[in-house]
Amino acid sequence: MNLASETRWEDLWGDLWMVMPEVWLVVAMCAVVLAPFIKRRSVALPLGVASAGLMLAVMAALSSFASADAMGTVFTGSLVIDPFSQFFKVLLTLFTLMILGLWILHSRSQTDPADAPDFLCLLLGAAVGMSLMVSATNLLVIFIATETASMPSYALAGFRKRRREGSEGSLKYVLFGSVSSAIMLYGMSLVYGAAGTLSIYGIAAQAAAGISPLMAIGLAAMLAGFAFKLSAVPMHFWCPDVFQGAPIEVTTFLSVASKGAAMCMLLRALAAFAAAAPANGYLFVGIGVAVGILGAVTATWGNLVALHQTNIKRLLAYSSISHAGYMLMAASVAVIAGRSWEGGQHQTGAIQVVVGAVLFYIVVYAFMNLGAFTAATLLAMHTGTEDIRGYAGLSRRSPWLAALMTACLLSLFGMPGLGGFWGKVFLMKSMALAGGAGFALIAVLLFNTLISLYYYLKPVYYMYFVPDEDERPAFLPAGGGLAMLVICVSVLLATGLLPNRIESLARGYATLYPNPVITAPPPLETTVSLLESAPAHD
Amino acid sequence: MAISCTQPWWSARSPIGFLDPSRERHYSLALIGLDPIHPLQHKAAPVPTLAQLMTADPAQQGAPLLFYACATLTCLSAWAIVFSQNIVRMSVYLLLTLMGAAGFYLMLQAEFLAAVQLIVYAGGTLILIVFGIMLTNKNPEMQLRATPMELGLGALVGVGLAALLILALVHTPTPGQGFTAVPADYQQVRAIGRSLLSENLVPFELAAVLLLVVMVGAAYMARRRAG
Repeated sequence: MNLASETRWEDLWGDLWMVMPEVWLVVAMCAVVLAPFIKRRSVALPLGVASAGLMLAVMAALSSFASADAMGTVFTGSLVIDPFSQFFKVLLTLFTLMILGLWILHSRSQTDPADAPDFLCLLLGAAVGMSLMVSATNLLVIFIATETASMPSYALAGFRKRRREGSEGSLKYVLFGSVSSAIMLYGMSLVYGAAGTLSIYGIAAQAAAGISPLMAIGLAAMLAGFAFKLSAVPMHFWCPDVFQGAPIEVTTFLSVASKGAAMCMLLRALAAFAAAAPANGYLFVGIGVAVGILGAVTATWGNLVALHQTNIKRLLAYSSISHAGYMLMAASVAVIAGRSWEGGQHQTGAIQVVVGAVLFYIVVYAFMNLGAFTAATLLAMHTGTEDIRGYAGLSRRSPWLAALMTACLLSLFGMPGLGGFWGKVFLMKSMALAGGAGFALIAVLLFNTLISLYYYLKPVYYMYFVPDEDERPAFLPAGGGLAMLVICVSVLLATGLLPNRIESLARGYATLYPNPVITAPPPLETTVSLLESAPAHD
Repeated sequence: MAISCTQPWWSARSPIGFLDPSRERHYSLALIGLDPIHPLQHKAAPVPTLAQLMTADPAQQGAPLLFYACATLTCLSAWAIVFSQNIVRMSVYLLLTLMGAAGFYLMLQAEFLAAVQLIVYAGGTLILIVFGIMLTNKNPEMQLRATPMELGLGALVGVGLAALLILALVHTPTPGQGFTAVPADYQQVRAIGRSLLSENLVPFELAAVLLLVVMVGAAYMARRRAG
């Protein structure tokens, strides 16, 4: 697929069909902006257009599983369409649909109808960026996709302009985001200078020949950018403020979709490195160890700070930081165990196990977080408080809501019988592949799970064991919200009670993930193609 | 490191001059104005006068002068930004720094990049900064003074980062060919255009999506609700 010499429109057209999910999202995004020209101050029209676009995107992503021809490398290697990416895109678009539901439930009545198209456009724009992040194999695409996911998020975080906390969170998000983007871009420029190629596979192959100091600095700077999107510890300060200040549907979207996309992007890069690692690539183990330490520190810090939180959104924000840490710890194993310690055979199976475990975790995490945030939203709507001390006596006033929220919180902790438990078990199973370092990671994970039990049980304690002193009346939450909660909890129960089915499914995602084919260290792609007719310098 | 050097050690030439393959490993040092060969090895080297430099092949020998001019402009104005206390003056010094960097691009025969540097940075970013100052600050003549603590911390971070980067640059071998002479019939803008619409089509198109989203977000943020 060499388009450099002659642009082949047939190739481009064929490639376009493989990125139909993104195309539908972009079309819906533009249509939503144009909707007010057809019917002014209508919420239903843009909402319908956005939902239709998201459903078409789901269909397009699902249909790519139908034939093997629908997967592969597109647009001269800028994007990879594989089962891993398509699986995440299905999850992402379905999740965005549920976010629309949450928006109707919570914010629609408070939003000026004229602002609805803006909200939907920004949400769809962020979804476009996230779905491209998962497919990106080229530094330029990685950067622009990350920005496309981030920029709308900044505006969404401050969508309620009159709320002071919202503006504060949004501003912190913008400042942190632009600094970390700048650091990531700088790192990319160093990596490009050292490797001479923008493709992550090419960079991995160059690194296999020897990681130069310049490339090491560049990779570290790039990791900082990833850490921001994941809210890993040195770059996590924005997370609690944004989560507290943003409207709850935005918080849920950011906590799951944004982190999931960043996690998948990181996994793809780590898998590329692992597959290219030479038999004695100790520097590669260094990359894995760096990511593992980042994850361990993130998980521990998130959990320790969460202990003191009394606002449910802040508590869930720190909880999401620690969950990102768990996933990072598992992802590090892809590099540590992905290359063999002896022999010279790559354990490509190890990469697949890790990817499968993290994908499964993202799915479970999406539902338990959605459930917890939906429950917190319903509670905030009916009791007017986000403080967990306000939950006192809830088991009497609204037993269903209390039970469903408890299920979500216990799943976040990792209670056997719920999806969160198996998510953690699979993470630990994949960590065990890394040998001694893996057992250290497992110890950190178990220790953190113990700490987290305290703060996940704190709201439960107030709901069930503290009597309500104010004698507030009983209430029945809105039907739509309750339905969404029931869906979340049934997914958690299904994943928790059918571990065998789930394990085979997780293996299924894992084997679906193709290994990047890496040939000899590639030529200096861009420089050479820019100077095509230049004589070889010898 | 036995590398023959016919030039005096201090003559940090324009990188264009480094076409000798034995030298290419060190172009990165030369880029920042340092010659990698230790000064003590070259005590006896003859020092050419300015006139000698000028009278030789002007295409090759004029380059160091241009390099020095741009380097002086860039460095002095960068220092001036740091030491100035008036924010408007800082932005003007920034303009000079950016122009100096554009000069480097020109010398590297990256004319397109030089033009983009002037248009985007000097034209766009700088105006944005000035607008930002004018709109947010009631008193544009405000004096900014750093506390000794901030100065020390800034110096520490800056020097540390610079040392780290210089060390990394020195120890990094350049991949592949290093500098290659540009063929006479090479059309830079054409090559960039082709690359944008073939190899880099996705980032190019994605940038359009990004700009649309940013525009919608910015318009929403700036809009004042009626009533």
